Parts: sequence; structure tokens; C-alpha cells
Amino acid sequence: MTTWFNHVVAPVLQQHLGDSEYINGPNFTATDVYVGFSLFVAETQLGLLQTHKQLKAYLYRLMARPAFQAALKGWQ
Amino acid sequence: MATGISVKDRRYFLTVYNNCFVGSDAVTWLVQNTHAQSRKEAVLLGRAMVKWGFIRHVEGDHTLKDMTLWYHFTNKKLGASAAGISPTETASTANNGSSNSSSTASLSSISTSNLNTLRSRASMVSFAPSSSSNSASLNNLSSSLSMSNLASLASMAARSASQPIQTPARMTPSAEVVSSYRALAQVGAMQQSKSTNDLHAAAAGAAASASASASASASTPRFVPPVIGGVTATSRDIAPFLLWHIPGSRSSRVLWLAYELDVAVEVTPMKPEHLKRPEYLAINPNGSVPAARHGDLPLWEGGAIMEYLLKFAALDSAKFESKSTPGAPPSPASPLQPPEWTQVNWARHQMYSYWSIVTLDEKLFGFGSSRLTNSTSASYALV
Repeated sequence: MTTWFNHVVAPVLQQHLGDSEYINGPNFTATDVYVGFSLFVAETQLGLLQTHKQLKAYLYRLMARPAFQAALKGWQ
Repeated sequence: MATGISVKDRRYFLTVYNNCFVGSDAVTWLVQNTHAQSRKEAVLLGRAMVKWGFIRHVEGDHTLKDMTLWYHFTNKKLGASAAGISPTETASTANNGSSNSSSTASLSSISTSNLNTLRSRASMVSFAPSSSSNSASLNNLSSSLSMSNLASLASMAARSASQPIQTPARMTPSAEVVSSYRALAQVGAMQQSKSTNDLHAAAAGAAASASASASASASTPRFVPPVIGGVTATSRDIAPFLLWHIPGSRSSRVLWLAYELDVAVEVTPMKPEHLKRPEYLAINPNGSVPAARHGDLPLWEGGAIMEYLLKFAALDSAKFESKSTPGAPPSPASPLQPPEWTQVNWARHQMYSYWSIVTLDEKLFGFGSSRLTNSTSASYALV
């Protein structure tokens, strides 16, 4: 799974993310919710984001959102 | 259909299958006779026929596929007349100027027999009551929802008949029958108008309208599902959005989005061991979270629910905006609606998220792709 994530998933996400704040550019969209939760599980349950600093920073931006904290209270 | 395609005995090695036809022939026939606009749509239609037992793979191994697989017509009758669905179709295809009465009569027999089949099958696609709905309206809902499957099937007939659907005078229809006429009529109308809706959407609309007209008095306005950019007034505006949620699980996505969109949610917390209990399977036949219910609309699968939330929020913000600036056209999208290119890439994101949705679930919680059923695609079609 680690290989899959590193070679398939992460590059695609990285490419979409680029240098922007969120996956679709500067604004938060529903796509961020969809992708963000996957990243959240990847990070918290599997520690897959260790080598992906940009994705990790992106995830932490998402986790800072009040709605995220309300929805995942106690799971961070 | 039985008369339009080559039905004969075929031999596979030493086994002879009597009176069977080839799947791809059936698909071709459905397309050529404009019952379906594409082969893909024809396959969906054929699957519905298999699902409801009108045709069957010779070994029962396959649903209808656009392939050289062999199928039988079963003896099951859709109408009161002899040969399955073919009477309606042949009557209308053979002679477009055929009398109103024959088309209407076969339509009526379809919808009454629909209802009879449905009563026995309603339990398959039934949905549990939300705390606010009573069991009577629930029955209506479940029967009309399962009817939507048959309604899509019967929409062929409705479309090819292209007659206003009337209640024959000698029949004394119950309220349910009347509502099913309406549903059929609406499906037919949607098919005839050049809307791009596929069969599922048409069926969903029919189901929604039927449930509304069945639960309320016949004169009340039809129930119309929310449409982006359209103007609709629905009972869902005031209904709470109910969500079945396992904290920390996939359903958190839906909850998160709901909070982002400021949609009021009533959460029913669940535990993994409750998922396969019958009372929950009645809410979501897949036995998974998230499941949601908005008014009389049951929803499951996170992606579908999220799409629904976005549409609903768009509708809401459109109302708000047109209220603040009178005459302004309603906004086409909610604030969080992903931009254009994402409409394509959204699917890709979902695909790339597959590793987490299915594989990861399988690893962590012991269930994965097995959770997906046919009803999942139906849920996507609803939104």
C-alpha cells in the first residue's frame, strides 16, 4: 500500500495541488473534503505522508478548519 | 421484443438451449426501435428486465450484457396479454396509428400488474421510517420507490405509446394506481421531452412524484426533486437532514461537508457492529455508513450524498441570493461546488481515493468492495 500511495496517489494529488492552497486552487471546495479525508486516514492510521511534506502541509491546512474539527472531534 | 429479434434453438457443445436470443441482438433491437438512445442505455434497460425477471440468461449466470450471451424470455407477464412486454411494443411499433384504447389498455394492465408485483417485492427495496414519518407514508414510499425500477421499464411502453395516459372508465383505480399512472405519465413525458435525463433520473422523478401524490391529497402540487438552477419548492426545505454516522469513519466526509455548507444535520451515531442489523439494512441495504435521509429521499454512498448536499446548498444559496437582489438569476452552484474541470477530475479523484475507500476499509474494518450493491448506482442516480 505504501508503494501504491507513493507512486500512484501522491504524484497525482501533488500535481493537482501544485503550489496552491487547495486542490482546485486558492479556494476551498468539496473536492478538498473528499480528498482531505482520505489523506487524513492515510496520515493518522497509516503514517503515509511522512515523505510528502506538501501534502502534509495541505492536510494540516484542512485540519485547521472549524468544520473539520467539528466533524472529526476526538479523532485527530 | 420477442418478435423483433432472432429467437431460436441454439447449441453449445452438447447442450441445446431452446428459444433463446443473443444479448447483443436485444441491445441492437432496443436501440433501433428507439427504446434506448444508446447501447449503454439499452443495457441498463435490459438489466432492469433481468432484475425483474422478464428475461433470463440461459444458465442464470449473467445479467443482460452487450455480448454473445444467450437469454430466454421468461413466462412472466408484464401485461394481462399473452407475451410479456411485447404486446405493447409490437402494437405501437407495428402501427403508429393504432387505436388509443389498445395502447391505454396495455398501459393500464402494466401499471396494475406493476403494483401487484411490487407489493410482493416492496420489502426488497424498503426504507425504514425516519422518526417523523409514519408507517403509512412509508409504505407508499417503499412501493413507489421500488416501482421506479418497473417504471423505467414501463417507460418504454409509455414513450412508444405516446398517448396521454387515461384511466379506463371500467376500472375503479385505488389511489395507488392513480399515483402510478402519474408516475408513468411523468416518465413518459420526461422521455419525450428532449431532456438529457437518463432512465434512472426519470424513474427517480417518477418515484418522487408518486410518493408525494400518494401521501398527500391528489390535488397538491407534484413533488419535484431539487434541480440546480431550477426553481423548486420542496418539503425538504424544512425537513431535517438525517445522517447515520460512525465517528471517525468515511461518513465523516459527509458530516464535514455539511458543516462546511452550514446544513443543519441530525446525526444518528452508529457502531460498526450495528451495520448489518436488519433495522439498519432497511435504511441502507448496503449495510454501510454513511446513509442519509432528507425528507422522503433516502440516500447512501458518501459521494452521492456529498453531491446531493452540494446541489441542495446551491438551491438554498440561490434562493437566498434572489431574495437579497430581486430578479437576479439563481446562482448555478454552491460556494463549494468544485469548478468546471473538476466535474471530470472529480471522478478521477474518487478513483484515486479508491485505495482508501475500498482497500483501506478492507484492511481496517474487514469489509470493502462487497458493500457495493446495485442499489448504490440507484442512489447516485437519485442525486
